[in-house]
Amino acid sequence: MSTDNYRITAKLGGGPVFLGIAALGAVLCGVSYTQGHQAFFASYLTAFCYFLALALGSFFFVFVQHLARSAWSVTIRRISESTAANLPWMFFLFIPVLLGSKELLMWLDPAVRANDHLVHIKEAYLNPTFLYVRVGIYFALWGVFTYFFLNNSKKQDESKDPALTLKMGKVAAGAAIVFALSQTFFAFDWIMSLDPHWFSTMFGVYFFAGSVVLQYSFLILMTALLRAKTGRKDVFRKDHFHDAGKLLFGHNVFWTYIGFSQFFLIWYANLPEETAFYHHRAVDSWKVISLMLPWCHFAIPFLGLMSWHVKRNIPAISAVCVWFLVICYIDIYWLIQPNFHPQGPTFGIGDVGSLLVVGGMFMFMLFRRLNSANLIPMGDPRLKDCLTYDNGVPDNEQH
Amino acid sequence: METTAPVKPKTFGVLAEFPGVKDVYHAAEKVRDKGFKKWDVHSPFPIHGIDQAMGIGDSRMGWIAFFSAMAGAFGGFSLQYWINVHAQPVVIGGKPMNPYPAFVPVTFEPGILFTAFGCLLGMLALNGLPRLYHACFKSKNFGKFSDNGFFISIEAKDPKFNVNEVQKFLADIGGRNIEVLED
Repeated sequence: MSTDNYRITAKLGGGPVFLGIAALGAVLCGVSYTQGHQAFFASYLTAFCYFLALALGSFFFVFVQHLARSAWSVTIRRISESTAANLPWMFFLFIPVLLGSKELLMWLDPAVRANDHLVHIKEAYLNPTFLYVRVGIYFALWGVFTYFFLNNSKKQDESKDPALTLKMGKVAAGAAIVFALSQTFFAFDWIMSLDPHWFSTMFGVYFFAGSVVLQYSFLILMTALLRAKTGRKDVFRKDHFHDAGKLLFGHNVFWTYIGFSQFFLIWYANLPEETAFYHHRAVDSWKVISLMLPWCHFAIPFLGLMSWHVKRNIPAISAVCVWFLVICYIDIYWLIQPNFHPQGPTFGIGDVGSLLVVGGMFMFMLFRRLNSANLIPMGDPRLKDCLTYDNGVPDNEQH
Repeated sequence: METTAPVKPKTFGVLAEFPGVKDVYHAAEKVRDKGFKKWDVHSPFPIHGIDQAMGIGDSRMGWIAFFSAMAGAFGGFSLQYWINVHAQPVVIGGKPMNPYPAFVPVTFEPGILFTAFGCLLGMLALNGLPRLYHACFKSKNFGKFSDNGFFISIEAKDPKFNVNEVQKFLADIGGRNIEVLED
């Protein structure tokens, strides 16, 4: 098999468009900032965490494929490698959050730490110095690992060296540990500690479960885009949509399981220091979102994704993925915003502007990377398996 | 005295042997394209892609599993609701009389249990199991199906069945040791 047949590149464009979107977002953010500092920073943190979840989920996908020595995912892995490589650059998008951290994290105020007993006893962890050191560590580790996978994968395009695959498989084990700890503590630091009285050991897993649902949705949509742009139905196969759809389905059930387990134990035990989180989300119009999530994040897509006819039908599964992109944002909005708007959701120009700024820059970086490299890891020794495996469904159109 | 007239045996169908996996696979495609419906491939091991070659459509198992799950979940929830709200209302842990989040684990479990039952029984029913007799076993040659033999049998129940034409057709697509089996 000549692998040069699989040297696939495409000019996806998008650079100036995404920069324009980000610039428009910046204007809206500026307007929002003048209307209220804290509300703006809360909106920005929400948008940032949404795209961070996407990049972290992509990082997860990449190292899990290496850990599992998976062949099915080879041709779509480059999309996730490129998305995950946004992680270190997202530090620059994180600067506004750092600037607004005193507005967001009330425990950064020394008076709160001194007088509020529940915060005082957590001071060994919740103190400004350690917080900022941790942030630096997270982004540095994410940068080292995501670029390790992207660079070695690209190097293999030319050298076709199978040893690189073994090397990435070994590093993936370390990446798993680093990922699990860093994303958990990031979620603790910047989402859970917005209410420093409340704690849940499931919180990091909940954030993770949502981020993986988000990443599979995005991955499927990007695969559909590349399939349409390159016309390579033999490379971005229906079996890939089918299998990524299965994993999306499975991880969404996992999200439900984690979300319900967290809620169920707190609701049943009914301890005041634990129930506060759900109490804030059960009043006024927040209750609507709290009750909507099990239906719109779980039940409806669960039924929608059940059949393989949907998973192999590209417009149909793309529609489900777009649905998830919206729902995952609402999920993160629901985690963050009740701390700042206890009376109910107030979706406004700050939220739109933040999504446009972070999203525009995120997509700008991603498309720049995809435009300048091979779209699939053509040197991967498992490429042939990826192009020929069969899901064994009675589908006449295999590509 | 009446003597019982010998019962005229009914034809079950025609059995043909094929030398290898590829032969039986391609022969199956030809049988499928000819439009036969009541026929089968016999092989010592599962052949990858044989369901496409045989033109077997989507399995009905998915629907059986889905409705079993719904029945189990509905039953599990109803049982708890009836007990906690109507039959024996007891306040537990200060929760309301219909604490539906507490019902979720027990709703889930019968859903799983019924799905398992539905899948097992549905699989047996769709495969026509348990089955103690099959006309193919009358063939001495057929014993090889569990060792190194690959066979195709076309049954007389098929609307397109005609003993002579089917024998000739199976010979044309590479079948050997062609036998007409009686039920």
